[in-house]
Amino acid sequence: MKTDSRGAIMVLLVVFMAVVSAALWVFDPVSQQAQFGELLGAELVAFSMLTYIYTRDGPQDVKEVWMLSGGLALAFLIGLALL
Amino acid sequence: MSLAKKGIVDRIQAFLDTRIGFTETILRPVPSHAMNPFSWLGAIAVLAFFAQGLTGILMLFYYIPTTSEAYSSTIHVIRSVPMGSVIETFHLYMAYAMIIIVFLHLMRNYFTSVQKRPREAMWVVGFVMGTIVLFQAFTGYLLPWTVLAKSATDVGIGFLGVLPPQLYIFVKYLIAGVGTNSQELYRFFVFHVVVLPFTLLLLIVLKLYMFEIHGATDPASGAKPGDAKPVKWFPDVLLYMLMISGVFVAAVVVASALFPLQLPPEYSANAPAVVVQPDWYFLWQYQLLKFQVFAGPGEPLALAVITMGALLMFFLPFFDRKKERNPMNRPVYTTLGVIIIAELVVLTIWGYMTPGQTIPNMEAVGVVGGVALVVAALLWLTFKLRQKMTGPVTVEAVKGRMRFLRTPFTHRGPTLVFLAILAVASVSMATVVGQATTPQPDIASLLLGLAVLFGSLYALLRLMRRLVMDYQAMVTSS
Repeated sequence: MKTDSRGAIMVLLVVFMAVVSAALWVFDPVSQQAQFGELLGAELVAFSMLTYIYTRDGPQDVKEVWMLSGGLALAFLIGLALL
Repeated sequence: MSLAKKGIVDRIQAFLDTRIGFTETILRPVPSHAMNPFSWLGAIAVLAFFAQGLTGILMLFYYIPTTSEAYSSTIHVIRSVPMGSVIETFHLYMAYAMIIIVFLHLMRNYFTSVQKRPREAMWVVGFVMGTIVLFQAFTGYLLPWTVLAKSATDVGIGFLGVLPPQLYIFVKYLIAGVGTNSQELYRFFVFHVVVLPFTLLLLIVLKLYMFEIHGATDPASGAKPGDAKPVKWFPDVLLYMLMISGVFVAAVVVASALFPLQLPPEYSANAPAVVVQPDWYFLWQYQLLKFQVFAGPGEPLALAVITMGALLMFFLPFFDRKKERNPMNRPVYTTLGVIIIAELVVLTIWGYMTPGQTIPNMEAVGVVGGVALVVAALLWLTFKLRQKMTGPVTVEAVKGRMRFLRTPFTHRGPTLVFLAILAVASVSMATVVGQATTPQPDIASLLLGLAVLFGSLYALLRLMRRLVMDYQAMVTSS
C-alpha cells in the first residue's frame, strides 16, 4: 500500500463488524445455525484483519495478498450467509 | 509507525501498569525470529483446549450421561438448542484441529531439536500432554453413545487384554467399571470432563512455567538472533496471538456451520452389527493391527511395536545428546521424522479405505517398506545436494546444482535413482489406491499413484530450494 489508508480500512472493518453483530440478532439461532456460524466466522476474520493492520509498522508492511485474502473470505462468508 | 504504539492500547497498558504492574509481571518478551505461526503451535493448542472447555461446559447444560438418555440428549442439543448444532460440531472439529496442531507442534519441535538440554523436561511434559489429548478424544468419542463409538471403544478396551492379568483387571475396572454399559459410559464421562481436562490444565501451567524459565529457542539453523529487539508480550505478542486465534477459530466455526455433525445411529443391544472402525486419529494403529502378522496371537506384538515407538519418542532428549540442531545437519533424525509422518499419513488413508480387511504380509511390507524407501531416497538426494554446497553459495551455484534434478534424464546416476524411486512409489501408491475399488491395482490406480508421486517430487524440489536459500542466508549472516 503506497498511501497510508490503514485508518480508513480499520474504520470500515469496525463498521462491518458492528453491522454483522447487529445482523446476528436477526437470524433464528435454531433453524438458521449455518448462517449464524458463517457470520460469526466473518466477524472473526474481520477482527483478525483489524489486528493485522493495527500491528503493522507502516503502510508498506501491510501485505496486499493478506488484505485480498481476508476481503475474499469476508465476501465468501457473507455470500454464503445471505444465499 | 505502528498504530499499536499509540492510542487506546497504550492507555490501557498505562492504567494496568499503575494498578498491578501489568507489563512487569506478565509473560517475558519474545525474540523477533519467533514471531511466526509455527513458533506458536503450542499456544494455539492451548487456545483449542480452552475453546473445548467453553463449548464442553455449554453442552454439559444439556447432556445426560446415562445409556438411555446420552444419545437423545445429544440429539436434543443438535436439533433444539440455540446454536446447539454449531456448538456440538465445533467441539468435535476443534478436537480434531487440536490433535493436528499438537502433532504439528510435536514434529516441529522434533525437527528443530528444541527438546535438547535444558528443555528435556518440557519435551517429556509435552509428550504426556499429547497422550492425554488423544485419551480426551477417545473418551469423548463414546459419549454420544452411537453404535460406531460403542463398538470402536469396546475394541479399544479389548486391547488392554495384552496387559498382565492383575494389571488388566485393575485398569479395566478403573476406566470401565464392573463391565456394565452404564458404568462404562459414566466413567468415560468423568474422565472426559473432569480427570483428563484438569490434568491437562495442570500440565499446561507447568509447561508455561518452564517456558518462562527457558524462553524461546534460538533458530535451529544456527543463525544468531542478532540485535533485533525482543517483542514485548503486551501489546505486540498478545495482538499477534489474537490475530492468529481469530483466523483459526473462524476456520473451525465456518467448517462447523458448513458441515454439521451427522450423528450415527444409537447403540443398543439389538443394534445391527457394524464394521468397527475408530475415529481417524487412531486409524493408523487400526491399520497396523489389521496386518496379517499382527492378527490374533500377533496382536501383543503390534501393541508392543506401537508402545516401543512411543517410548522412543518420549525418551528422545535423553539419547539424542548432540548439540547440533539444524535439521539439514541431522540426516538420520530428519529422515526418521519424515518417514514417521509419511507412514502415519499413508496408514491413516489406507485404514480408512480398507475397513475390516486383513492386509496380507507381502502387501504390508510393500507399502510400509516402499513409503520408507521413497522418503529415505528423496531425502538422501536432498542431503547430497546439501553436502555439495560446501563452497561459496551463490544463487547461480544453487541453480546449477538444482538443474540435474530438474532434468534427471540427462545424467545417468540421478536417472537410475529417479527411476527406482518412481517404480517403488508407483507400486506402493497403486497398492494403496487400488484397495479402494478392486482387489488388484489397476492402470487407473497406477496413473493416480504417478500423479501423486510427481506432485510430491515437485513439492520436494520447492522445499529443497527453500532449504538451500535458508542455508545461504545462514552462511551470509555468519
